[in-house]
Amino acid sequence: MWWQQYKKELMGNRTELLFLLGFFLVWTLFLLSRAGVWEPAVVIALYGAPPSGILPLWALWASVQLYRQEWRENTSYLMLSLPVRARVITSAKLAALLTGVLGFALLFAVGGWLLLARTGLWGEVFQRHVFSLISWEYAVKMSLLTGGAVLAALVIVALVAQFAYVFSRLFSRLQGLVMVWTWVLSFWLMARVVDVGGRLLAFMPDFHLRLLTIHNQVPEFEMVTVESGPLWALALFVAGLYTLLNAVLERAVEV
Amino acid sequence: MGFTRTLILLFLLVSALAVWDMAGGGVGGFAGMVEHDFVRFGGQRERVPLREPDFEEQHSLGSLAGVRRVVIDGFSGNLEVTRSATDELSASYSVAIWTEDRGARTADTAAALARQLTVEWAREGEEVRLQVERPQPLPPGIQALRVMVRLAVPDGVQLEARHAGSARIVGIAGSVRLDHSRGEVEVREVQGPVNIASSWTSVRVESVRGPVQVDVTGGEMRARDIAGSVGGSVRMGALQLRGVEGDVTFSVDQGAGRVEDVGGDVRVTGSFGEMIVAQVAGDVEAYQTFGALKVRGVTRAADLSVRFGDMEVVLQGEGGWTVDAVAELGALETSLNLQREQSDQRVALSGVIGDGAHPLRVRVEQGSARIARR
Repeated sequence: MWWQQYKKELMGNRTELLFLLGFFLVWTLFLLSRAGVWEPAVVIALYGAPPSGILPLWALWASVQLYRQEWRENTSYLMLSLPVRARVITSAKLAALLTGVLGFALLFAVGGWLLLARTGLWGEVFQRHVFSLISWEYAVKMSLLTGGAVLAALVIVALVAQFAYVFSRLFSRLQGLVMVWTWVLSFWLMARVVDVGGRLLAFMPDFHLRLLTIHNQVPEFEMVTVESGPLWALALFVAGLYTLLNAVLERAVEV
Repeated sequence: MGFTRTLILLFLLVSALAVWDMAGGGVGGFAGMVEHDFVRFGGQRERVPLREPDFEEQHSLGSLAGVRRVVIDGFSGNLEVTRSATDELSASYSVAIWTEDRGARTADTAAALARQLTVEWAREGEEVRLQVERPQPLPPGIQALRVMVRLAVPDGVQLEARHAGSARIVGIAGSVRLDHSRGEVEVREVQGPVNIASSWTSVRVESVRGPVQVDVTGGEMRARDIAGSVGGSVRMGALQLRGVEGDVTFSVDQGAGRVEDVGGDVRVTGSFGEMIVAQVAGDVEAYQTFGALKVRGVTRAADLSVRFGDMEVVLQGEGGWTVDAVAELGALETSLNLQREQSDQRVALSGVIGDGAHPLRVRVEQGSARIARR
């Protein structure tokens, strides 16, 4: 059932997804044709600018759109009457969104690699200078960590947006206003939970991270300690919000 | 329906709480919440090379007696200065080289490169000058070169350095003057005046007996436990001062400042950021533009101004103040028993708190101020 739901979400949003990916492909191909004509730094800056702005906005828009279309196309009756738990529906929608984000990130990475190679920046920066001292193991580990953090942040943004939308369906009037206010309220609550929860969970063991820095043209690792309490509190808040989203969808929303 | 009702009630309750919380802190409070550090970094940062160097050599420059002043001119690398166990000045240096392929040929290149590095003393009477010449640019096959100079200076010797890189000066008795860029500076347990001008850096000054003057451009300045006055400026960065026995005179331009636990008077100016001043035994004079000013624990006279920003003033102790507060195109809030005069564009508060011994002057232009007493 989950798989069918997931496929339905993907197929339901394929038009927007394909349009976005098509635009991105055309943009990448255009910039590839400019390599050697324009300054390499300009090409890379132009490549990075639109996706870094579009991706979070698209994630935000798509996360609301996944629920909005159910109400718009009157399929919410079917969705809520299906003999499945709400968590199957919500997780399938989140997974569909993440699939889009991952696909986009993968394309971005491949396009970036091609542009760096084509402009000659790859060899200049990463092979000749001190960056070549960085081991692949560390580079991969940090890329995964950074990518994971970005994905987690997007999931939180998407979850808050979805909760705000579904919660606004509890009201018969001013749904737009309720949605915006719920969005603001959720982030206010998150900040407060992280602050207070971080203090209460201060006993949790710290994380240790090796950060790469360059001092006097010599790359070094800085061993930094990261307090884990606020991160655990954030994880608990996200889990709580997700449970509440399921409960609202399952028990409270009337179609 | 019971669940829905409970949810909506909770929603209204949390909304009221959030509005009260956000409005209580004003715009600055809400912005502060948004800027809240979700991830807090703590503890000492320990630094280790990414890879052990492929070539390393150590040299000693021997000792010199009868020196009153040491000058290090234009050195790029790591500098470590400690107290000498004898009356003589001594120095040593190490050179570390990272190569591309670690082969025998590159090892020869590295050894030749190390020989090109010269570190020498030049003496003129009681003054010695440390001259460091490092090869530039690096030959093919060499990825990085690091020079580290270690000095041990006897008591009473003045230290002056023009330097790029990390500097650590610990436990010496004498004046320190550092003109520095790109790297971290740590000055600890020094007896004597400290004067640092630094750019693109992080400066940490701790447990110093003597006046401290630090000017930082692009970076942060942290100082604590200073038995003397502290002065200087930070541009595009952050200031953190805690535990100063003397006066503090500092300006922070485009950055945040925090000055706490000061035994003398405080004079601070700031722009485009938040300035917090707390627990000052002496008088306070603060001027902030485009940002928030929070002055907590005022016990004596205070002259506080803010333009295009919010101000919070908390008076503390048994003393008294004569209040003269004016807001042009702004607001003044207080629960204290003060006389209020209000017109379209101007609000004024005046009156006497306690014995009225200290003047409290508050000026606000296009912003707001809250005056309270604890």
